[in-house]
Amino acid sequence: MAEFRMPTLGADMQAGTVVAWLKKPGDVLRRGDTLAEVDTEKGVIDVEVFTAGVLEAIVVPVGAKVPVGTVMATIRAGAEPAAALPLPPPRGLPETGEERPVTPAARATPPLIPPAPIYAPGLVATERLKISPAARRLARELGVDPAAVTGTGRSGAITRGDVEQAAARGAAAPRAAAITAPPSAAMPAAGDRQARMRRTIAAAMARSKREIPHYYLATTIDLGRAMAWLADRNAAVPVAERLLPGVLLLKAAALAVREAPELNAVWDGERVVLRETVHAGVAIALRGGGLVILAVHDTATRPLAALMTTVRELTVRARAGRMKSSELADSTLTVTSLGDRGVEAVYGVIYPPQVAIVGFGRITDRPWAVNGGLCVRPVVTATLAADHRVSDGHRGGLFLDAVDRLLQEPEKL
Amino acid sequence: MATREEVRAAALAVLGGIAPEADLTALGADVPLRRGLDLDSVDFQNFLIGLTKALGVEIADRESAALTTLTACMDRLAARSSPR
Repeated sequence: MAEFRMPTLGADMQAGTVVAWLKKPGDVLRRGDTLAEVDTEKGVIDVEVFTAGVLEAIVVPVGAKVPVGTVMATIRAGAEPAAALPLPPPRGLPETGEERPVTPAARATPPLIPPAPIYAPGLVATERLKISPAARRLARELGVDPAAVTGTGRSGAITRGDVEQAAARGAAAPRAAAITAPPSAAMPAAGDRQARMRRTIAAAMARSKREIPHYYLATTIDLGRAMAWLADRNAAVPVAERLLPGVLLLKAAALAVREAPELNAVWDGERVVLRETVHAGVAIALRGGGLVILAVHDTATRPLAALMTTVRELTVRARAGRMKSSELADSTLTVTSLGDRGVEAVYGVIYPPQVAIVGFGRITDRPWAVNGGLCVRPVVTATLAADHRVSDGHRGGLFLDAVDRLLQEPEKL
Repeated sequence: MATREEVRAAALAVLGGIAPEADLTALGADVPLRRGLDLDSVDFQNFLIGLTKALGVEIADRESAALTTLTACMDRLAARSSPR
């Protein structure tokens, strides 16, 4: 039997609140299925399951806030026969599935929240409320318990209007909260989420600056060929298929890891653990403040068009507060691009337990010397902040040099 | 073919989805969209995709940079027949 635990969705996450279970005991689970919705300071996260099998029991009820690593449900894996096994006690370590090693930082950092109380499975609500994310958010903001609202939408779905009417009637009867925690803890309001996100960013970044000996490198890269190639390519296709320069930079950074594999890794507290696949984490600024780092899976091997689509979708969903657990948990090397905000260079703070962050500034026309003559070229400042425990400036320099070389042959990206 | 008012309405509807917290009723027709609504390049591309879908027109790559304000969108996209 496998245990489904509260996953760690980044080094800055310590606990999550179960908002909904999307499967009920007896349901068949495939790898990648969304099993639960969990509320964190980053939004409501679709938590995916990485063990195929049958959902045996739900341990943590809707509305309960539990620390990372807490057993949330048990899964009968594969062809294992059903058996009335007693639940093993939580070990405090997140299980993330056979193909995803436990994030070393999660191991190294003791949970700051006391162990979770054990909940009786009988209290669990397994029905998924038919409610849109927007209506659910509104309900949270207005302090309305969605379970107490009668839906008037399609198939009885709860609409924003239903929530507003319920709020007007004063129908705030927090069902889940009555079982577990005060409403403020179980259903945080938007403003509260902002404050919590600020605190978690503060904790992760303070830890980074306290523990990681950063070194910084910068180089200016001629994008003349890349921008000309991009303009040619984009002229021939509809807007939905056009590439933004940022996606070339992203792929170049992912490919350059070949030259310095130790930058695509995590620090487990004592040593570096290399990651074979590059899942670049893109830093996405949220409206109203804060940011999330979401994984663009298999960045080095997927075509530019696919990466562009992913980046677009991630941006929309990050801002809407709809993200998947794998997107939050899987990134291996962060790439941040503040060029849109007008700055020429960004020197990043490493997102632990990662060991490097690549930064790209604004693409801007500059005088550029070529073969002893002067011309005007679009250029970008690429930076690397890396962990000196893991790599040295020489290796970092090779990495940035590879980014430059790759961008000189955009058609091969 | 869309009228100027239809282009304006479509643009505001798309922007409302991208920047839900913004007060679009207060958005002046000549305010630069990207700065006024803090849109990054991905947001702006999503805006262009939304516009092409809503209006049934295509927007050339070299033209997209000119769609900086609501007025510019109306000037360029109103009365344009769909090439598709």
